[in-house]
Amino acid sequence: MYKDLADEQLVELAAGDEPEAFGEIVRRWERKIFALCFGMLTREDEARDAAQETFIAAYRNAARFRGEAKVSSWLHRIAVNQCLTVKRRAKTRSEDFLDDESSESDRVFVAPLRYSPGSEAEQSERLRVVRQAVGSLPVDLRQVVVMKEFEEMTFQEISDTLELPLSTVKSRLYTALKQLKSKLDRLPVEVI
Amino acid sequence: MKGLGTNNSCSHGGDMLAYLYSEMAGEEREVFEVHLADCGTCIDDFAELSQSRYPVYEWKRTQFDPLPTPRVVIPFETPGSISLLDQIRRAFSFRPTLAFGGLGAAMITVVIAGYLILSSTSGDTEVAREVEPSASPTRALVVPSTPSVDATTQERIEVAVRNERPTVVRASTSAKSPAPKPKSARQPKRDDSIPVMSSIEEEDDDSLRLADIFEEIGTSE
Ligand SMILES: [Zn+2]
Repeated sequence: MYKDLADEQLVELAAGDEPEAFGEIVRRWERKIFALCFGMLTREDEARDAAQETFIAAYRNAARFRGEAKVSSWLHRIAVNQCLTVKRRAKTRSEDFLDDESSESDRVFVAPLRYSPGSEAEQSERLRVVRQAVGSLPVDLRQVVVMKEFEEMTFQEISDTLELPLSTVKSRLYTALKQLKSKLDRLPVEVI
Repeated sequence: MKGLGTNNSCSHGGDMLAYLYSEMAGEEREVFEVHLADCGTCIDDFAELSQSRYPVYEWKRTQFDPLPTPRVVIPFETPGSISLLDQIRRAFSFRPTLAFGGLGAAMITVVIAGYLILSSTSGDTEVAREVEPSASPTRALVVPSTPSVDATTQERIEVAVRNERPTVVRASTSAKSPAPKPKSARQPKRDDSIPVMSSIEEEDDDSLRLADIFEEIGTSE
């Protein structure tokens, strides 16, 4: 019944007398929003919380959705805000090493690593460093990286969602990849 | 690469990122590849971007892809959150016949009550006493604050309330118990909902690819 409706129509229905229409919004977007949260937060547990809270916040504010924006833009904005909230919360618990890049990363990167492609420990360490590098990117750059890699969106979709010119999206991704390169280069071993 | 403020001097119009992420096709792609084969600056740029991209892709593939999509629970409005007054109001708003029936019952009740009051104040206590025991059900009609509702009507109202927003009831059970709602519909069908990252997929494509470069530099998964 709801499958043929556009996102914007579903939100309108959910804001009215058909809350279950929002179930279709969840079904359509939960994986992508989870991916966004995972990439932004780099931790599964936090990503789950942020994704859950994103949809609850969206549902509760469905009546305020005026349709001037796309639902994808609206959800992404809420999700990024939820991620920042979750991150702030984690920071106050002083558990999030990703926020402490300056000290932690120096220590990590100094340690010499022997690269061996087959080593699980090596891969695990490599991935940890990558998470750290992505997590240390400015939010606007990180979001584009995550939308591209984790949500697997096209440049045009990212442009539409963020309501930014295509050239800006590409420019941000380009800058992000360059910054990642310099962060990853600090590793004493090859990370690829 | 043009337009992105690169540190090289190549003014070729090819879009490195579009190429890197396989969003360039057809003739445009062929033209770009011809250029890429001959331009050391662009090759360096491509290699650098690829080297940044691959670890992120690897991270996603190994640590995110295997994760199940979390079960998102939306706290839809529950029946318990609707006040009795609202329930009745909603029932009547959906069933005008019930409203008229209730009104009629109220009028009958008022007439009977008036009759009883008049007869009891007329001084005939004998009659009143006789009536009293058998009249208790009748008196019960006078007492409630919702006099229009007799037992049958109340039952119909409850049914109406239950039927009024069946989805709300369903949603609430979904929120409270792990099983009921047809969650299968909401379980991730990744293949349906997630676009394929074509740039990483194996394709019949012999152009210069990210994976090729990684192989060349001795990386394996
Ligand atoms: Zn060039």
